[in-house]
Amino acid sequence: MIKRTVCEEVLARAMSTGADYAEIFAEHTPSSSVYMVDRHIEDASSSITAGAGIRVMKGTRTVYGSTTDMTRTGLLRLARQVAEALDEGRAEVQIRLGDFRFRPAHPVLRPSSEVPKAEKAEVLKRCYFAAADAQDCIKQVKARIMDIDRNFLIANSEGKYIRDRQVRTRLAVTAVAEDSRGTESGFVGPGRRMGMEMFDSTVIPEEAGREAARIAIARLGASFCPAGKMTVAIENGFGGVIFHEACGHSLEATSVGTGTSQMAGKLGQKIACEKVTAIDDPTEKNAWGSIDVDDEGTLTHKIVLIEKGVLKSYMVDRLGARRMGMALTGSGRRQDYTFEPTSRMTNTYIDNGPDRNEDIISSIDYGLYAAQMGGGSVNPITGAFNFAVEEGYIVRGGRICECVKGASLIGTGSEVLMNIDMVGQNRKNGQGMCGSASGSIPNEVGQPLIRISSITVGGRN
Amino acid sequence: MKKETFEKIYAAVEEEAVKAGASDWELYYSGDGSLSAETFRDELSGFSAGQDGWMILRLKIGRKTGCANSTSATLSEAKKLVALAAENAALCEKEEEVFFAEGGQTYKELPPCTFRMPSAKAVKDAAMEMRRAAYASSDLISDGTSGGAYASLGETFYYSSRGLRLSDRSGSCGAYVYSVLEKDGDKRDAFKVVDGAFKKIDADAAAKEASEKAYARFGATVPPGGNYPIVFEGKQMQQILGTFLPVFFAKEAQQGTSLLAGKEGEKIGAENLTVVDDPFYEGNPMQASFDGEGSPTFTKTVIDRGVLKTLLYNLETAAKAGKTTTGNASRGGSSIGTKVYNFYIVPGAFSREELFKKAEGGIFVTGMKGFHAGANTVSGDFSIESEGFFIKDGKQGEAIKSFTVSGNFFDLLKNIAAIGDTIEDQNPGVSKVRCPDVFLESMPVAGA
Repeated sequence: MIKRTVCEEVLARAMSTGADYAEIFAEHTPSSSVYMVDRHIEDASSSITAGAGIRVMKGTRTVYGSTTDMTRTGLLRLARQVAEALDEGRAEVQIRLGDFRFRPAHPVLRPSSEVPKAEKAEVLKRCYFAAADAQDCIKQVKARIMDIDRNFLIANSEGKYIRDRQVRTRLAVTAVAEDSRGTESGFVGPGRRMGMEMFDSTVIPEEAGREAARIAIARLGASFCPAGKMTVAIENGFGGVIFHEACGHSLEATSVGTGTSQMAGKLGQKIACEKVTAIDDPTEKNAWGSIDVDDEGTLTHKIVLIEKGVLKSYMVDRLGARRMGMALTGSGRRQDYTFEPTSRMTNTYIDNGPDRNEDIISSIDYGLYAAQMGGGSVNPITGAFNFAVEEGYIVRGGRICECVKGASLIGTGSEVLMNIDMVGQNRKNGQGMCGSASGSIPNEVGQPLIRISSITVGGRN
Repeated sequence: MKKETFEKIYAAVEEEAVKAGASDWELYYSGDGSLSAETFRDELSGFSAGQDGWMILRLKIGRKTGCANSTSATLSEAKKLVALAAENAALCEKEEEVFFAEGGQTYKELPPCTFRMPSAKAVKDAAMEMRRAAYASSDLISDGTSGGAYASLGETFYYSSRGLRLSDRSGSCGAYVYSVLEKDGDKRDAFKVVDGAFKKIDADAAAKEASEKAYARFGATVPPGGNYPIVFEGKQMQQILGTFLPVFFAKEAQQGTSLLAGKEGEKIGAENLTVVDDPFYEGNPMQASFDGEGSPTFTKTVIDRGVLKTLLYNLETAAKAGKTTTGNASRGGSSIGTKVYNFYIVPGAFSREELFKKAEGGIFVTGMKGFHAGANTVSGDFSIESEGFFIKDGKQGEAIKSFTVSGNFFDLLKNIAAIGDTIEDQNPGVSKVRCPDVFLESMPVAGA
């Protein structure tokens, strides 16, 4: 992509005004998607994201620049720009880059970018028609198959010259059901860090389509959820968004290092019930959010964030490490070369706990069972979060009863963590895209069935 | 990108497209140069400079069209794009004919772009000035407080086989403060963004506003649930309207995912509600004379005194409906979609104080978040975590937090009881929703 000697020259130029660190991130990333609606392929598209970003640092000061011009001349021009913007003196620096290799832990058999689009279209159709033909009340389906083949190199003034290839493939299907009671939709979006072999046995396209239709149909007959404080059981899979939003973002160095996180200064303190152990694991084999090396060139490892309720670690990128005086955790991520990396999550989940799932439901006299969660957001300053319940059911007398819609769960991270009082044993992850300062990146969220003893449910009745 | 460079790339695309058997093609480029700076504690912590853009090709072979795009605007990449677009066209199963904008149309002449990109030093200085003002604005100011500044100069080219040779150029800059206040271990924050030339920005006034807003949020309690009169601050109404924007798109209506399908000419809102989409909104530096597929843009009334006058069309959806395009085509990487320019509720006759009098005992909603999760654009239902203030004695009263406002967007349009007389300064941009304050007599609120 960029020759090592050119990288050495560019890094030296970037450090010529007193930087104590410089880094090049360059990528050539083809991606494609095929989209179906109205029972036909509406469009197919191809994108190429190609460009480079250069970052220089002096202490906790950073300057970042990006360009689509990856010629030697273009890169040297950008290096001069960022160096001039930093302006911390003058320095003659010589950079010698050495190869930095690692064993890829996420094998890809058939990279989607190398597979004819017609084959992807066949997979998409299997998913689409399973949703569209599920029941007569399914009036519309929109489905997309997407893949990305991220090829990047990172060269830095510590002498590292590292390359990686991250292949990801995802299906996304929305089914719309309509009858005399109204119109509702259901969404399913399974993805993996895999190629087209993902559809051999890991993700069955028909199952994804049927599940989207099932959610839409289930919501059709639902009345609006009652509002107020109640006990809530949240199912596994995408239910893990509660931890991602309520706690995960507050453990990122981006907010901890600036002192704005509610979790700042709490290492070693009990912040959750002892049944709660939470992990960020970029090493989960072929998982959607998995990475061998982060976007700053640091090798990744499993991070135990909370162990038996005690805060054990933050997620730390290079800038965060400087601000906080802590070691890198391989958590520096970015959407693409136009973004400066920040600390981000990968596959983040609450681990299995001691409680039997049936005991969790039967323990609730009156409350809500959130079978499917939607997305959410959080303010890391206050820890205030909210997220939507895609598919919810009232629980009465320890039994799951009627379906309700329009519910959202709101609270603060510190409060809800202490209120998780039962943790089940069926941990499963769900896939999504997380948006933050360094763009939109693939993440998994996960948990087993959990019980929150008391949380505010926003509803309409 | 220089015009001559774009024209060379277009010529290469043209040559390859003819070889590939294309009957129509268009090349769209949108790029910008950008600078931004931000502070942390007492220093300039970050500075970014970008020179980025997207080149998007669409071509038609037989009755089928295909798209491909790249950030790399080079001659060799342009040739690759033709091959990729041809592959995508072969896969397309769409029955409808795809249209390309005709040449020979009339476009509004925009005033020449006079924006000059500020220097890196000017951007850095502006960020530090905002920081200074933020730290001086309150005794309670704490870590996380920052200042920032930004500038961008963008350009767009659209050339096509129908003879269109269009270009637009626009730029803007501005600065912001982010105030974080700490009191008794509790933190509250607020943003204030001010657009315009750095020299004209009153940093102290912006910082004061942000810090006062943050301070007002201390001591907030959770209100009891129930039905309340509601005044949505303009910025919150902007979020609501922005979230449900797709229901005004003809594409969504034709695909059965907008409940406004078939409602053109019908009353869908209150008598006092008029909504306009204006590509030439006064004072907005980011104006556009052509849309994402080269059609001329124009100002249109979407809702006139409660009556839906038109949905928003591009060439394809207009042809399907037997109408003409409203010049609202967007250009994404993969396909033509729909966008708005300055989509706004026309201000009414009431000051905020007058709205508060109408909403006595109600809630002034000044913060809402989680729309991506708590709103269903198909059904119109929403349930959104909010914060704000009680309205007491016709004034803003005690702060409240952690409540949800629930409702249905289509009911909300019908139930707007009064509209504020001012659209507060809201950031300019190519595609923006703008709203004044809006009053509704009763909405369900879930709280304590």
